[in-house]
Amino acid sequence: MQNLNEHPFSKKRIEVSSSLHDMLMQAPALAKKEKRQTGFFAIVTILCLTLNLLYFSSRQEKLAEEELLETQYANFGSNLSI
Amino acid sequence: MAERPTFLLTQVFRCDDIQLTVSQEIDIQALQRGDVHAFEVLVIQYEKKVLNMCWYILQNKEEAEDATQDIFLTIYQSIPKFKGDAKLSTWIHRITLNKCLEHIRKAKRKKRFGIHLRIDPAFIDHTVDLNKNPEEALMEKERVKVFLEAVQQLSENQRIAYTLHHMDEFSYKEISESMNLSLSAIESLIFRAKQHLKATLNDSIKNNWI
Repeated sequence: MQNLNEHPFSKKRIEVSSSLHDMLMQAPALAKKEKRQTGFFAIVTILCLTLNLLYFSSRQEKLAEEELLETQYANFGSNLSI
Repeated sequence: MAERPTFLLTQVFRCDDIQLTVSQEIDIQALQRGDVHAFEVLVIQYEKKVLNMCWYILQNKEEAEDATQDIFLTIYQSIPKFKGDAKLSTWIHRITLNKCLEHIRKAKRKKRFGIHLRIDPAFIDHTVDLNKNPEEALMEKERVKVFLEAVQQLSENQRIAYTLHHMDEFSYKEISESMNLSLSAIESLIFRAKQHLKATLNDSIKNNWI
């Protein structure tokens, strides 16, 4: 008669392979690398945002200037004589 | 001066027929300072338990190994936030369960996109006694497969509570602390898991395993 009494979850445990053990030991180095990468990407993101903002604000100024030149006030004073 | 919180680690080395027992302490403060040696001591103590928890919950060796790596990385990154309110082991078990749930959710998302994650045949082989005659072993493999598929149908919490309960290493109290639920909630989860499995499985399986 087959013995089915032992539950599949209460059987023997698996061992940690040496390659997995080595990888687990490298977690601190991996964490530092991840931290460096996150820092780098944060700086790049901030730089991109700053450049975008600078470009946007200079463009806005230019547009406002151009808009002003197109109005009736653009030639204000040009036909005045002393 | 405040006392340093430490945990004892007992390591057993076999050297011919002599068995040596060396006790090492897990120095939480050193861990929180990012001390690599303290982390190595922690890895030696917990790697097997964490891997087996992942293995029994995820039922897939590759996934379990990936999750274990993820867990120890998270432990190293989050240990400065560990306040010592709970036992270190409970804190590690909580991280393990959360990571396993993350992996299960990822697998479910993949399944939705048509990639089916099967139960690892190595997991079935591992749970079957291969010393039996081939016919019996084959039949038992089939039974284990049906049983594991039924376990996978349980809700996340039921599945985790039921699995940890049957891993023999966890008391109800430890399960409740790890899952951050009350004892009665754990009892109810395990009861409902058993009811669900009884309703799903045939007599030969449920009479022996449920």
